[in-house]
Amino acid sequence: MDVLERRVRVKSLADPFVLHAISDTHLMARGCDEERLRRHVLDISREENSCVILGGDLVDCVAHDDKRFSPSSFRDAIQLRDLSDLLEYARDLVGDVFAPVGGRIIASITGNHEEAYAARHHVNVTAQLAEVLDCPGLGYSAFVKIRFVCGNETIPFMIATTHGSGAATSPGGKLNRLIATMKIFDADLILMGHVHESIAMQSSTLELDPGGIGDRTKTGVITGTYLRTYTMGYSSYGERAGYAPTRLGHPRIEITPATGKISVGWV
Amino acid sequence: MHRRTAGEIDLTGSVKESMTVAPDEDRGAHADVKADPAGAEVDLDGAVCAVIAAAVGGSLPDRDRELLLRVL
Repeated sequence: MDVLERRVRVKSLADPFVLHAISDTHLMARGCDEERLRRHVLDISREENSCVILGGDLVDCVAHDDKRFSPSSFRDAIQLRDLSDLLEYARDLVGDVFAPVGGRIIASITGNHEEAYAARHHVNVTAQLAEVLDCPGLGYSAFVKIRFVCGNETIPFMIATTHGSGAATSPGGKLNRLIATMKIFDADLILMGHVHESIAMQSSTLELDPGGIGDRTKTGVITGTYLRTYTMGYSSYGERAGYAPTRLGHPRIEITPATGKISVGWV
Repeated sequence: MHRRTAGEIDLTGSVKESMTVAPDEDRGAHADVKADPAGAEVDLDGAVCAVIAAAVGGSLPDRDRELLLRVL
């Protein structure tokens, strides 16, 4: 687990800061909706007061020695010779896709796909991708402490981000996984990927403050995906396993530093 | 567990400023090897070259003609 502190200088602490939490893009996979992802990244690049945090499984990176390997699972543009250095290919692709938001990526964490490739090939995939993304590359889970700065005033905001785990396929199962994750971390915002779903929830605990009984609220968000379960002319792992199709995109989270207010929308 | 810090992200500038692409000073010198970043199509029907050739009082060698078209 990693801990990262990052300062984000903003024009006003009273204005909403927008965090785009993108995970499970599965670039390189034939099922990745790369066109949609590129369009969304370009939109973000034009949005004032916004940043990106990346939640793992950026690349599919399923190599020949992986039981999930299938030549037909690669994106159309990949050439046979590209397999001679799959990681280099991944670096180039990730760098190109996220170039429009360069300098505004808070961090990138590790997903199970990066982890599986790293374990087999003795390379740190996350660090390699973070280098081209020009952001810190973190482990599977991390506390990311943002310090919003405006003039001489600073407001901290704690994010816990984890790629997630498990094999939940129903909306209820995925929600339970999110609730379990929210119990693990004490943070203002908890981000979880892996289960390819678009769900957000808030939970509160009571506390006694000088004004009486107050509450502390956590926001948990499952960070979506850009991997189609069903693709024309190709049977993916998800199709063979009978998974439900999922919405493609990512959460757009508005955080108002001065008030701590959080609202979640979907891109 | 690793504790790290990273550089400050400054969002006080406008997005348009941050998206400004610095002019490529080498573009003219390397026009023969660089693609047009805007992806604009070059008209190769010779009309443009003919106008320039007339302006310089003669014809253009093929290499210069091609270079000129790429720069344009």
